[in-house]
Amino acid sequence: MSLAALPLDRAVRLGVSLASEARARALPLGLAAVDAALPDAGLPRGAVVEIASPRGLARATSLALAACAAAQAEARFRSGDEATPGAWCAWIEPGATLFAPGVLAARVDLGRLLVVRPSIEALARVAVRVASSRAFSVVVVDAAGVPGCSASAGRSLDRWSTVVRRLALAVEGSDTTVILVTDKQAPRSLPLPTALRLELDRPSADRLTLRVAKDRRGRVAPPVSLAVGALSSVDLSFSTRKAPEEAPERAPRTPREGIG
Amino acid sequence: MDSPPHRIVSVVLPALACELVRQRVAVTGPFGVLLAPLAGDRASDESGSPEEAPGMAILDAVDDEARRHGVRPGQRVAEAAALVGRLTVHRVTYAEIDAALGRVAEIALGLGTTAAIVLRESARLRSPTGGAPFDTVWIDVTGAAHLVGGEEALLAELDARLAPLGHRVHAAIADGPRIAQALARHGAIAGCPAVAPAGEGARAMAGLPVQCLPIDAGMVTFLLRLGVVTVGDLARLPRSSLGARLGSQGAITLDLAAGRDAAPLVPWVAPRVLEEATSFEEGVLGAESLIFVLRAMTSRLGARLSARGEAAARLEVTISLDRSIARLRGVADELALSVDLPAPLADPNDLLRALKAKLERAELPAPAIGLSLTIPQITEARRVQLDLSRGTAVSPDALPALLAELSAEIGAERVGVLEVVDAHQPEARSRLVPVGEIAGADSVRSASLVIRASSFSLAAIEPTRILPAGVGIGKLSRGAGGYVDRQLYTLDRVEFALRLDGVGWWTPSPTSRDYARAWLVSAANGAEGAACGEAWAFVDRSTGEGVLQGWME
Repeated sequence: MSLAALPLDRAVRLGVSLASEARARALPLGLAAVDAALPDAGLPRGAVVEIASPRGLARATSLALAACAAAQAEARFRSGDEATPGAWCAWIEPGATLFAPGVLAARVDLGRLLVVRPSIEALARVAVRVASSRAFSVVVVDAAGVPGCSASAGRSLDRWSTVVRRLALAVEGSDTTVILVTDKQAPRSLPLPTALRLELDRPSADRLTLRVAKDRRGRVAPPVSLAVGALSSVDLSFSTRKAPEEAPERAPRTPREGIG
Repeated sequence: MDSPPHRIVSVVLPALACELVRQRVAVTGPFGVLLAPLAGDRASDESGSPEEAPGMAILDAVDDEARRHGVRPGQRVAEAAALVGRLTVHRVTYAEIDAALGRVAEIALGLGTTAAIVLRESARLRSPTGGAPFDTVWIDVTGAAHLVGGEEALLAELDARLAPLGHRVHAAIADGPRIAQALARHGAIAGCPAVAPAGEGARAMAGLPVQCLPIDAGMVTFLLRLGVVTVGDLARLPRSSLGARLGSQGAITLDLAAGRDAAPLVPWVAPRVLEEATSFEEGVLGAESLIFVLRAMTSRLGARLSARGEAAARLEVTISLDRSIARLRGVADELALSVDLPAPLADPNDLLRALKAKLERAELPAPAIGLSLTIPQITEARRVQLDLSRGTAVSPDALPALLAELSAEIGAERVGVLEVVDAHQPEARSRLVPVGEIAGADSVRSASLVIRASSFSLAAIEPTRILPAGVGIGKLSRGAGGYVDRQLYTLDRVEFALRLDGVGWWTPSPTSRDYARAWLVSAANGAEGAACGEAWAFVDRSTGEGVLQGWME
């Protein structure tokens, strides 16, 4: 039955409900090629998303910053006033490497990005505390660092299984998306219980591959090859956003694809 | 035209002295209280000095258990001890009483315009056994009752707000402070309603016993012997004959009986430093016990702050340690902790979270025997805008409490927002502004940078990560290699980006560098998951050495 066939009040209630449900389901990143590769055309809200890349490279930072910028832009769009400050996001990094001009270039409102720099031992505890506050639209937990900062290089991710469960419980039912940036090469005994796992690789200077390695509804996908510039062309105009015109180029299948 | 009558709420705390004793120490068994005079007020010390003649001191208050055993205020300690062998006697100073009344007044001020803990003419009557005003707080609520739904609702609201203080409270409302006080003290026993309607003070007073009037005990006995039991009985007698009989208080007494009470309130001024303190009979070793005590303290402070419409900007905790053990271990006999709150907090749970984060990491060098919590800085509380979509949407109102908690736990300098700094050297262009330097959430909001939505590309490439310390990678040329975190990387491509020449020429070591974007490939290139990335590096032109400074991630 369509909405038009329903009584007005019920249709309005149902319409509002559906709209809020759709809004609550995913946070579009404003990167057309990346959104097209994601199961819900965005990162799930109220869940933990893992972005795994070798040593935290392969543009994992750009992807996380894009999520922050998108959340802030969405809040501005929903308020109907571009001058309204965007939503609060949090970036938790023991390595203390985030660079303000680069963050600004990624169109993130610096005044609305809380940066927390705990010690590596306090990282998990602080992450859970920040996520539990529900004060943020996006919480980025940098458990990988970058080569040279040695804050978390080579650390095992075994203890993060429990932490991820606690993070998931903390944001369950909320609009908060927790992004956990991990080192793809770090040892782990079990896959982390995240709602979505994205694997980034950078086989060449101008190409990236993005693979949905795990999805809570089983919608895993083969790697998608993207131009590096795809992470730079941000469209944060929510009112004029369109679906991507052409599907991204799929990389050839390998026998390991599709394993969640 | 006559001005509308004043409406005064009287809050009587009938067991205040005993409650203060219980808050201070865990008392088991019946006990009595001796009120100690204020410093320099020896003249009003009718009970004598308990140290000099403890048995002759007069009890000013007794708890319910002692009362069940027949002990009454006004009895000498020796007499009471004869009735109850295990009676203990505690001292409470007028300063403690005033502080407790002040806490009640602070909270009550949230519902009225003026609060008072003494009346002008009764202040000098303060004595332990008379009708002294050491148990009453008055609030002028003229024209304010409709804001909470009427006078009955106001009393209920007041009762709810005072609940965190843990005092037994009787409240009444009338046209004047003494009528309201009489109603609060005796109204429940006499079966009178707690609210005397405007202009009906005489009718409200009529049912109260004559003991509620400001006359001495001898006169009360005399009136009772005459069969004048209630104020109504007294009011029916001819005023001309009573005036001389009642003495100096006659006019006031007859005015009160007639429902006239125009005594002004002496405004009570809220202190600018809030403090809660307690002591322990036995030393406390763990932080858990202290946090348990702090929970009650923050609850009381939170109620006081919210009633004032203010919030704490800084918290100070002082833990008094067992002196003998502290001296033995060579440590100070006090442990002071402080929490600078990045944004003002008033909610008791938020205050406790910030303190808990700090206290959990503190180590007690000796058993704690006392604890005090002080709020030395008080500011105006933040106004919170109601939000219809509060259900699942993020709640930025939780941010101040979180900032306080994180600042207390990991240090204020590790929590903040990034700021772009105007500097030549790239590594100096980013700074973390600690939340302590951002005065309140409003300033955080004003510091935000609003970016217009438009098509955008990263034409001006900036690194997203800058290493706290550069990593030397040898020559910055194609094919060269270097170790980063014990992993070998080779330079596949180098693109010149920027030259700095003689920056800081006035210093002994000016900076001359060539910055470049370098494509670094780990030695395991070709294998799945090899680490490759675009680095931000420079060549020090004085040494020719390449340094990895960041990543264009």
